[in-house]
Amino acid sequence: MRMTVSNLRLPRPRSAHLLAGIFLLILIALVATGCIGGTDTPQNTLAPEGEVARHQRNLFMLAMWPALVVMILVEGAIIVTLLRFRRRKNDAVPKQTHGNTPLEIGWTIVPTLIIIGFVGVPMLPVLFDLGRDPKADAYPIEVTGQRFQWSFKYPNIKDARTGEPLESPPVTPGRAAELHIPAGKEIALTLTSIDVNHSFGVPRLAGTQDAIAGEHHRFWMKADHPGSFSGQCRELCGVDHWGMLITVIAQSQEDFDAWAKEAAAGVKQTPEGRVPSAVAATGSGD
Amino acid sequence: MATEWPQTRRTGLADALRGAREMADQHYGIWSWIAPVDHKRIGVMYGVTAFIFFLAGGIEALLLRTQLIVPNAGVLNHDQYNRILTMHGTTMVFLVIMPLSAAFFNLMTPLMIGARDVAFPRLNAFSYWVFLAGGIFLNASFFTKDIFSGELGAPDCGWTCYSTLSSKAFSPGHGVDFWALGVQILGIASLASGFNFIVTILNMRAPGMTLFRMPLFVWMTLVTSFLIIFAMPVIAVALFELIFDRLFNANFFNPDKGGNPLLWQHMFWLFGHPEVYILILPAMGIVSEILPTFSRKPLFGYPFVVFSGIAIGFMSWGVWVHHMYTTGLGTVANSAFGISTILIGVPTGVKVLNWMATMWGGSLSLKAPMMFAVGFVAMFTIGGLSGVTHSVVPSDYQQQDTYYVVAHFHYVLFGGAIFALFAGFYYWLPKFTGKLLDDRLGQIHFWLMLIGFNLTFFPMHISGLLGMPRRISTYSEGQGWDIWNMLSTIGAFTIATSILIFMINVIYSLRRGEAAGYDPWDGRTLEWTIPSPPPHYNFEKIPVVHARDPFWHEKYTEDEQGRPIPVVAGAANGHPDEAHEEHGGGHGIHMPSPSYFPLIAALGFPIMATGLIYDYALVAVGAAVLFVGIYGWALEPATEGEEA
Ligand code: HEM
Ligand SMILES: [Cu+2]
Ligand SMILES: [Cu+2]
Repeated sequence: MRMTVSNLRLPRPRSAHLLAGIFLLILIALVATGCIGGTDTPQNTLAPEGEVARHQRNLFMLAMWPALVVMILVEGAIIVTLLRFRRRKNDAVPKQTHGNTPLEIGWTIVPTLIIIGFVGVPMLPVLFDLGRDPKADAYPIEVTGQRFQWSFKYPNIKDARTGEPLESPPVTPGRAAELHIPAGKEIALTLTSIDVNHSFGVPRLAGTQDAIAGEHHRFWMKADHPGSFSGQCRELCGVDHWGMLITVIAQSQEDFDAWAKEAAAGVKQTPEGRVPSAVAATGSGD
Repeated sequence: MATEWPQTRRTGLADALRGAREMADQHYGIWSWIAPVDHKRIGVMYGVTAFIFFLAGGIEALLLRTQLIVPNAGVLNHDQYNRILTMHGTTMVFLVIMPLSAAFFNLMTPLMIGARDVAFPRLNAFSYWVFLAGGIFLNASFFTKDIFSGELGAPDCGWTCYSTLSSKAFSPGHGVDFWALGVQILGIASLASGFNFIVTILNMRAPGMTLFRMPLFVWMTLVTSFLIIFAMPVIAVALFELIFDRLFNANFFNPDKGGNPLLWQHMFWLFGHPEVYILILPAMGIVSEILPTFSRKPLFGYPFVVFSGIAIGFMSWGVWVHHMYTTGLGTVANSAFGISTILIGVPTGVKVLNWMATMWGGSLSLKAPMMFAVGFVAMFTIGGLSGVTHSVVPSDYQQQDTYYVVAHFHYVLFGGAIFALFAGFYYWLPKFTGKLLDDRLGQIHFWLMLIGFNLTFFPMHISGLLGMPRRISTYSEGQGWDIWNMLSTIGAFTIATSILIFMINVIYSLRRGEAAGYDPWDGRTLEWTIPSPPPHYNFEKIPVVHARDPFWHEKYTEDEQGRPIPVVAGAANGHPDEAHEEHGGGHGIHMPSPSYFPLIAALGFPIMATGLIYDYALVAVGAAVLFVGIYGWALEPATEGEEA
């Protein structure tokens, strides 16, 4: 039979080399993917600094590694098949095999079980945990998406000048609106929009959730430690969608309280003048 | 009919029209393009038109990629970027992949089932004209602003056109009106062809061709056609609501007046997910024809592949919420749809295994069609796997609306559908041109495209995981995205180069390509039993089918050990039909007469749509044109010969 190993004459076809080369490149790229978690870029979805993002990273890895293995097996098998069964001179017409029902039933059922067992089942508890209502003592913040900026309202902080809950100052597109939160504490966010759909994405803390006009979408997140975390709008919302940026500033409880006090008194709305306060003309271009 | 050169002496208008019709009937002159009924002619028209749109969509893609090559580039402004982005997506889905699939439905279905034409040839022509009208109408939107001063009038809401961004308040101008009405028109074309192919496949198979002897491509055409006729009405309703909101101040999606913007997302994706299978199933069908031919083995597990195709067709209705995980529908909805999405990966995976088993143990001829088909399997697998990774709801909260999703759907749509469609070109074009495409150029095209494709889209997995949102017109440095974007842009131009090579190949081969003959690939199915190009009646004698892969069984028998041996009488290389060719020549075969009424009827739609936007009087005009077209069509005799 031609299928024996002795017949496995390898590298005749040049194109097969090329294919193998590409395969190698993809492999390297994939290893790079696996290592992405190590890079400290501002919106890295695989470098969590909060509980929600950590759950998400872990689940992704759970799905990605088997997917990678399957991919390497399939691509490898394709290459082996091409090399091994490439038509040669005087090839006889191969036997006409029409299928193999038990085999096919097997390769339908086994992957189903694997995929449900490895990914489907572990996903559920996390899904319910991330989707639960925020705890009663979580720190509340109301997030409003608006073309083309985010604004944050702190129901627990009263603005001394207006007597209303404190609101973040407006920013222009390309400048990040700042959200202050206490680190290590669960934050209860309520998302809404006053115009079109936006999506509040802060990868290193929590991924993204949509802000939709007429809806009040609640979810929670938590920062492990003080720090500042970048994010931006993820849902196309118009010309300056690119520039609807977010910076979440997590502070220790003392720092946060101090900031809240100052902000409430209208002393200083942003730390160290990172963002020019209240640029009146928002010039959003619409 | 279809016999004599027209000899009419023209006296009146009626005679002139009659003459024109006869010219069309004889397959020559301009009229044969205006009043086509031949499925092959219409298929070619579909293919050429869709390819032109492919070039347009490709140029749009290059513009987008050029803007993103470095951070803060100034090639396009934000407004231009969003509009070109919207047109790119809409074009590729509705004006390229769907009509290219339709081109293959048209070209191949009748030939593969042993029929002389489709069930409703004029409806077929109508479908083409409506598609063309819709495509031109959609692109006309570019010109609704002063394009020469850089202002584009095209829609700016993305191909998904979510409410409330799509409302008059947030997308003023006429771009979105053109989008909604244009897609609506295209839906009519799809519906017409969907019904046509269902009836054709169910009713017009050659004697002996039972459902389970049908070629896989025909099966996939059937499943796709059913998906089309169920999915299109869903988007049609959504589009009508959008049009009412925009033009007549209705409030379907307006939250201020009790409407609900999420309603749009539900309807869009209830259509949208079946739609992605409308885009991929024909590709799977094409590949399921090519792999067996070039492996010289039948498709491994034919019933499995058929049933998994059908299963996908059903399951595709139960996963739409995976596009809406982050909208806050609640954990129960998200879990249910998360599980169903994970499960839809299974029938898809089964097909991949069947294709691999088809090749295993075969005698693989690695000509260009085969390379593209193998490329399809290899690339589609990656897209399917990334699909499974982001079907995991909580982790998709991270990937939603990032470049990771862009990578996923390009692996399935470009690595999948487009690779398979090119495989189809290399495989079947010779049947219709009579000339083989050059294999060397084909190989260069393949390798360049494969490299360019991976260079473009693989890095998007990484930029996506690094948090780069999709649909942003620019980005700042320091995010770790720069290098990946640079690679993607270089890859995009590599792809463009490969497409140029393909075009050169087509032109070169049309002029001096090798003659294809009946059966250049040692084919297995009925289309290879007739000449290339086929006579307009396709089959001199309607074939009688005794097995799956009927032509193969005509060419090969099996010895006692089940090994195939060529039938001696030269049938394997010569041709059974060849003998008839001399005397028969198709005299006396009744074919439907050409008709220009479908064209007239189709013209009614863009006129009405323009009227809705600019002046209601035009709506009446368009309706009148449509009515005249349909009226004439309805009363026209089916064939010229039956007239008085
Ligand atoms: C293995 C089966 C598949 C699975 C499990 C799957 C899963 C998914 C999921 C979960 C999403 C949503 C991602 C997000 O927006 O966060 C998605 C998006 C998408 N998928 Fe798939 N998919 C599969 C196959 C396909 C196929 C065959 C096609 C088309 C040929 C396709 C085309 C798309 C497109 C176009 C989008 C993005 C739509 C948009 O937001 O513009 N997918 N897929
Ligand atoms: Cu946005
Ligand atoms: Cu989907």
